[in-house]
Amino acid sequence: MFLRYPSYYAFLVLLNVPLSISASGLDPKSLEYFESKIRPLLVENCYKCHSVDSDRIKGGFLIDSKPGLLKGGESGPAIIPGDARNSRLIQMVERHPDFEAMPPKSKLSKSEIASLITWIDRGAPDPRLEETVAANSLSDFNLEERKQWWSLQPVKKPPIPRVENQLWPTNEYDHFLLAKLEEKGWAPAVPAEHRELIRRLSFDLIGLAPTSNEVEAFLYDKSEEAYAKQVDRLLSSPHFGEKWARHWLDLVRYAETKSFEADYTMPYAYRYRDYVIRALNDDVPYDQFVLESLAGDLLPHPRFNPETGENESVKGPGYIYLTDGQHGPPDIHEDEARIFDGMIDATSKAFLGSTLACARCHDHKFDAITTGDYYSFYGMLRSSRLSYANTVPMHQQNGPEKRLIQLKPRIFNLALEDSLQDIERIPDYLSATRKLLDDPSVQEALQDFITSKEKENKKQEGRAVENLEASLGKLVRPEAMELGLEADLLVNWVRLALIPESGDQWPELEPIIPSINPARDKASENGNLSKSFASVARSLDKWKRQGGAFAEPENSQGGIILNMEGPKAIQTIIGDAVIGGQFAPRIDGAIRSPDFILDGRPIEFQAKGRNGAVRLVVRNYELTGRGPTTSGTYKAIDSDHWQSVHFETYLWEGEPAYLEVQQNGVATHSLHPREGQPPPPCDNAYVAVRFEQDADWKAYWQPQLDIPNQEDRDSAIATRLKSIIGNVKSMPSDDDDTEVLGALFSAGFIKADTGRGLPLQKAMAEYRSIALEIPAPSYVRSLVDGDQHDEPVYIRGSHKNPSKDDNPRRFLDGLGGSTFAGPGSGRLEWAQQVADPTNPLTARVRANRLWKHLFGNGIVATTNDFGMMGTKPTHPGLLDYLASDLMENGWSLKYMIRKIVLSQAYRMSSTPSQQAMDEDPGNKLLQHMPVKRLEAEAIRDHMLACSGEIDTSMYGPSVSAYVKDLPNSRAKPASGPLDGAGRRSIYIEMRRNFLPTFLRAFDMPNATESIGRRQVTNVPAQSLALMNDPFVHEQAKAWAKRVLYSELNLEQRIHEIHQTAFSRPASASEIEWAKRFLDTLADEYGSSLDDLAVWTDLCHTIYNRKEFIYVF
Amino acid sequence: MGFGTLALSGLMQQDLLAKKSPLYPRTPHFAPKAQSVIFLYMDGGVSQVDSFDPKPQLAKENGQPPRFQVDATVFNKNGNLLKSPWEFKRYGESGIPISDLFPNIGSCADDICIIRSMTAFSPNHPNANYALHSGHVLSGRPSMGAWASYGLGTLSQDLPSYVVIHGGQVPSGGMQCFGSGFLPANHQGSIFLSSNPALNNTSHQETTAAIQKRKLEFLHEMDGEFEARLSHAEAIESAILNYELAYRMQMEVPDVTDLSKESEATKKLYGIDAPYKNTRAYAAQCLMARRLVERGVRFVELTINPGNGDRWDQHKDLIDGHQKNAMAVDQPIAALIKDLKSRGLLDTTLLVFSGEFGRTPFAQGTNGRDHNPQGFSLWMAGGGIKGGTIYGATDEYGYRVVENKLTVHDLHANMLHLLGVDHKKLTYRFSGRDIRLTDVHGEIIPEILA
Repeated sequence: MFLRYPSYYAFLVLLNVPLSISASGLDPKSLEYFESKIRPLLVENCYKCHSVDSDRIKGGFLIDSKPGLLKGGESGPAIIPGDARNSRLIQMVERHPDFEAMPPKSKLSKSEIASLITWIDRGAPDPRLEETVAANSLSDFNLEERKQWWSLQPVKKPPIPRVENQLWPTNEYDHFLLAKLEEKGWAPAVPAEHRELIRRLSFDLIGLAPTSNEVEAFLYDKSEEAYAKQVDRLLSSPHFGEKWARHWLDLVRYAETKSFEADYTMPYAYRYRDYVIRALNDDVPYDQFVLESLAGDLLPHPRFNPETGENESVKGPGYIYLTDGQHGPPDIHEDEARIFDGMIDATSKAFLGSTLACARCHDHKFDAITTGDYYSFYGMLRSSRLSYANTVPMHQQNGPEKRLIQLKPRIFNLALEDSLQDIERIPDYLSATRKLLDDPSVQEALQDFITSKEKENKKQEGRAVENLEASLGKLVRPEAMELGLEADLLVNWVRLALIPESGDQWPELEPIIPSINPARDKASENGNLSKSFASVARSLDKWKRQGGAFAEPENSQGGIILNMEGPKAIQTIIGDAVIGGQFAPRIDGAIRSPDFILDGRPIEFQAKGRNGAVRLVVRNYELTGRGPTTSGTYKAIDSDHWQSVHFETYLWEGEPAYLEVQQNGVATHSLHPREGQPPPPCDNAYVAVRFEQDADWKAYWQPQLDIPNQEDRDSAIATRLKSIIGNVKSMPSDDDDTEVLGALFSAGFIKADTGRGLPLQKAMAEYRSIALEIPAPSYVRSLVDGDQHDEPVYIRGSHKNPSKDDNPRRFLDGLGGSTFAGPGSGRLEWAQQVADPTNPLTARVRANRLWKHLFGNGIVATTNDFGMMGTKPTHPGLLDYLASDLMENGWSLKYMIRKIVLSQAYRMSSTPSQQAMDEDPGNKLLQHMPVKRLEAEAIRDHMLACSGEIDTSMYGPSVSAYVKDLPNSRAKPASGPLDGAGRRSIYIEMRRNFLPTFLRAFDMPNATESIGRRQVTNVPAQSLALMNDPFVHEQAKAWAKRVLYSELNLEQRIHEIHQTAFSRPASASEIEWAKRFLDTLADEYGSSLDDLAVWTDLCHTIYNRKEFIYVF
Repeated sequence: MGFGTLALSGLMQQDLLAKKSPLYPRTPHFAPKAQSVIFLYMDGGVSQVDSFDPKPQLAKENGQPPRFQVDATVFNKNGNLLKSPWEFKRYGESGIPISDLFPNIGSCADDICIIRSMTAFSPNHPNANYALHSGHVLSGRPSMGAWASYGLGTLSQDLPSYVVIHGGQVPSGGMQCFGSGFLPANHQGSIFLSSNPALNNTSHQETTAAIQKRKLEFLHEMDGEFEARLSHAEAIESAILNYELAYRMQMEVPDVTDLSKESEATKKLYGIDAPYKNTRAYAAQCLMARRLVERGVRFVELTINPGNGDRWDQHKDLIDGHQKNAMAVDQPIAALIKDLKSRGLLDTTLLVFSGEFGRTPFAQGTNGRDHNPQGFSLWMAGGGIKGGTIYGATDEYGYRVVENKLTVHDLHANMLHLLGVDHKKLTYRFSGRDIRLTDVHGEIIPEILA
């Protein structure tokens, strides 16, 4: 099939064969073999893509010379002379599954492959000694040359241009614009009318139309500052942040779910949205915002919310993991590479207007960006980890914690004293238990339990246990009463004796619990933990703590976990373990292991806790606990006995991973519910893990078990326990003793009941109330630094083909490329370089975005691309002036927005001069203000504002997406309300698989890639939505009701409607039109002018007026 | 007849309206073979060794562990080799073997070209679905239907250019499979449901059509005033014209989806009266597809309705699931081919039948098959396709492609080629690059072209 390429005969003619012989020094036999068998084969099958004459050389590999073969392409040497088996060329033509199949379209015949093998095994004699050099090589990347591009030159504040018409400009920006117009001999458009201007300004600054009162106030204010007053009013409105945050959310592909098959939620994603709104309203300096975005978790002095005191900075990195994500990717490294690509793309575009992601497979085709830059950023991401940070600042936690630390020993002593009375009576409990086990009714109850458990499925097992406990209670209570024992304690003894599974949970006590089946004598399941991962466990000092939960205060009482609810004082006592939450459940946190390479063997350890979670995070894979192969990388920890955690790793052998223990894990990311929010943090949360468990509990109890007489044995047990209490009081005590005591408390064999004694009751009440002084944890998605890691370049972007060369983490080569010296991931240094005033891109890119949002077009039209493929600035001087002005004024966005809207240019009418219309149809020179269509969110919000149904409350979890107009699919959630509960559009849940149809119709982006300028399309779906969408009709009806049931007369109603919709009263022709409309429609319905349907139709038609969605 | 025929006068305006439409037909790069595509999307992945790629070796080694290297699978519960429960028969003059799952499609064997060397970029549904639709394993890229619409516009100004006739199951990966990505939104797939209205927002909420029309006339009057005030703003003029388009679409959609106008014989041919409800449903979709193509819709895609509660994704109970899914689609698809042919439309309509990947020749558990991206079959028929041919091959087990390997880029390149579009020239500037449906790949396969 490759006959269209020159046949080898042609080549033989072209080449001077005899000369080759002498030049190559090959013996005639080898030469003949090469020329007859090998060369034709290579020419026919390979030269199309791998010779100097190829249109495009694939894989950087040239097969048309001996040096080319030996050097190979991007994946290394093609042949090893003398070793055909291990030569990549053979592996490829044999279509070995681990290698790319070559030739791609057709397999070589068996005899052809045999010839190649023979040839290579003979040493690959080849007369083509001269290395060929491709004419159109891609390696013409010259960084210095590329760095000459305009946007990489330092920002220089230019002088303000002189203009002839000195009266027109209100500020410097106008000078730049006017100078260009005057060059053309054009005059700028006349000022816009006041009504137009206030409407334009209001939509631009807060995304809502001005109310009639606001319009009137402006019109009647004859002072010179009238307009400036309006600007300031709007800039200080809390709605300012809602409008401008949406622009930023476009850039960081904001969404709340993961797309793909199941569209899992990202809990607390909305708090990032709220963070952006607040930051804009507070006018956080942009350089600070940059630092927070990339490294808010690393700032030595974070920014605190002045009202709530919470840590704002730590929320900044929340955008980075707003990626999509799938469960159970077969190649988890590929998945990481894919997800990081999105992060790199969004970050470089949003902050630098730079297309760094174009350098994933090779150096950038046009810009000063190396592929090393790309993987340097990759390394930074590899050195960071997704985390759920608690925004309650440490200082709000520390005060109460100190008091708790002081109070705790007293409680512990009181509890131990209290428990002595139960221990005294242990012999009685033991004998009563034995007696009950012999009772036929108890055995009957057990039989019922076993049968019902067999019948029930796993979910209903709990009910069977409840039933058993209820019936046991009835049987045990009289016995307890008779003996003066605590009925609930006795029930616990009997239950553990009866149900083998319950017994297994307490191996510490199992040897002394009477058993219904005396033959039951199995070895404890513990003590057999895989050592696979022990090396990591042993270096526990290298684990990294986040938050206060896992801190080890000096006066630690080991692991006494107090109970925060109910009569029980002590939840459990823990021996040698990593413990989170030992002083107050609200002091939240996590602990993470260093990175380690999975060896394919299972990871095993033990954990206990309440509302805790442990995760194995392979390659930063986020959706642990979900999907066929990845569900086993997460375990919720929710009981007070030690349970085994077993993570299989054979699927990911060789991949890097870390372990994470999260004190309140169930309340955070571990769940990824399909819809809604995770459960709130638990006020009784703690977690403990241990990696070694060598205790032999039978041996521990052997001295007592050896006592033949039952009564003596029982009292020996009690005596031993009493001595344990003595030991434990002087913590740190023997670990085994501690565990036994913990089991006695947790399994309910001793009480420490606050109801028994006033001192304990009072102390516990005090403890609990102090613990609740700490604000409940409030989570955001953020990052923490993990281990430092440099990522090598992936050759041709293939994660299977990493380069052997070092690729240190550093700032972009085109902007200096300085290597990071600090100890962390490098994010902070990266951020500092972005926020540095000498960075030529940051201020230009940011200022240009502000300009774009106000004038419809950026000075650089391609707001996300300041590279060669982008457009050049229409007003380079102005752009640099803006950038300088922004930096000189504390990077204040409000300063710049204010100045732009105060410019004369912004206040121009949208009516162009004929000349400008003819010669500059794209309005690049800004001779006039462009007519702008409202953005999707503004259209919807304006509808709600007109109908009066708008709910302007701010922040908080999103309103569930309305999905009834979308087809069913497996990940479809329950639908939210049609009207989004009247909330502004920014608060509507952004589910990637179920984006709001109405907003999408008007070009809201699909939350996949960073968008700096939205499409503005004009499509039938928009007209159809306005004509027929039930939401629009519903709002029309609400609006009509509001107008109709008011005190207004007919004409006033018509004015009111126009005033609300268009910020102006109805014109004479509109009054006449509306009256005709009402009459006609009333006729159609056969009703009167008081008919709601008639007014609904009028309001609906107003919604459809073009003036409703265009601002001019 | 639109409401605007009262307000707007003359053909000039109509012509202007059409030309202003972003979907106005564009000239192809070269003479097209096909004008429209019907993409029969077999959601979940049909098993190649049970349909179009017979493997006697599987019967020989049935129940034995695979002796070849097995890649990681999604469920990681790989069992032994599993022979096909179905027999293969040779059909037509070409003698192409097709399994008993598809006797009716078999009867069209001489019209179809089977490609046995298709591969997918991922063994996961969502990624493979995104790739099959958009050439990219990520979500959010423009679907091939959107590219076709962007490149060629539509021959019908009253209907969307890219229509998805929804069978009941949204592909794993969601509606993004049919999206327009960074292309303008008018190119995205419009989802036609079997319920009424077929397309969202195409039925008026007013009590009568007359009332809606009255309102639109009133609207037009005031919009005219606004347009006069801002006569320089083209956007406003376009937005007004857009209502005409929308209104005509609102009229046309119920009409095109009304199958009652079809003859009894036609309906019977498709299986509108078939005993199995899923056959009836898919028959209606196929018939609707023909009606859309007749009216000039550029790209029609059919999703399936799940057979035994799922798509073709038989991780277990292969026999039951594949049997039911095949029963649902076999008769309607064969009818579609025959019906198009009898109307002379097959020559200008390209049919593509494909899942997002194939299935493993070894079992998952005992009676299912896991996903296999390494080799699977698809077929094409109609406009420009050489019927009665087989292209490419998998190994003796049907696991990996060994001959003439194809990727989705090649598939897309050939589909565009048949539409008269050079896939290398169909680009859109986004994110600093001129992006193509076929990325930097895609080969035209002369062997499959008529």
